[in-house]
Amino acid sequence: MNNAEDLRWIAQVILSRDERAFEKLIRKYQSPIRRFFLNLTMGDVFLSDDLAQETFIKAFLYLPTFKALSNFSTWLFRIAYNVYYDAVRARKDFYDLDEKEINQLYQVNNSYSTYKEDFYKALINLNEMEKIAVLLYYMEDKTQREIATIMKCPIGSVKNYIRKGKEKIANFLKENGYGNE
Amino acid sequence: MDMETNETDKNFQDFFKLHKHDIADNGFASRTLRHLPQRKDNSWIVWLFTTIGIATALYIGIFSDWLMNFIEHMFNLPFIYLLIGVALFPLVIGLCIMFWEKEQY
Repeated sequence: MNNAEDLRWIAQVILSRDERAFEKLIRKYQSPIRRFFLNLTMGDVFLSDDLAQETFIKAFLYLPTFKALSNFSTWLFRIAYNVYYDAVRARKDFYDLDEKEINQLYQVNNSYSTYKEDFYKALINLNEMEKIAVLLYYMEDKTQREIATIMKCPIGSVKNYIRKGKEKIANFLKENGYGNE
Repeated sequence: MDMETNETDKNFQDFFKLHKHDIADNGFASRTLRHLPQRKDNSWIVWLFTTIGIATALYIGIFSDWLMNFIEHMFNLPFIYLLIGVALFPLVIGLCIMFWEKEQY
């Protein structure tokens, strides 16, 4: 990740509202953001793309408030986390379901999700916080400190979410014979 | 015990590595750019109020001595007041633009 390059593009967007520069930022970060949402929504391609689009639009609007205290990727994931949190809350109000039911609602209805079925089955046992922390740590290679910034919680809580999530996934892997071949 | 933990860790890392894939853009960036909110041009409001203001001032000025008195008074003002007015003008306009920009978001 080249932070100086990001800062140059960000400056161009803020100063001259340069959409070409913002397009470069989207192209650079679309894959991790879309992958993050895809895993959180258990492979719902359309929903994850909608959430990713909302994340980038909010990033564009709030870019003048970016203070470069963290790197751009962490700031973007913070927005993504908020977008996801709002979406889950809205759906929860609408369907009046608990978290597991929401997960099942999103699950396994397209070719992408059947391809990753085992992965989603492993994630479904985790609560939302554990799932987000584990995905950011193991899939998106964020540090625990960065995850604490993204989730706006103490680093101790992040460690706890990761430990619990890891235990649950490890049990799933053991039960399903991963690593025995 | 340690060996078992290490093996679990390795399985865990391998499991995530196995399912980590880059997602191709496939038009996502251009779709997102099309949905970016456009800045609204509300400058017509400024021109409208300016025109109404000037028209009202001229109307009052023509039908009363107010305009002539004002012009006469302007010529009698000390030069330093005029200079301060000219110097402050960009500052006031700058502040107005700043607040205007903030209201956009």
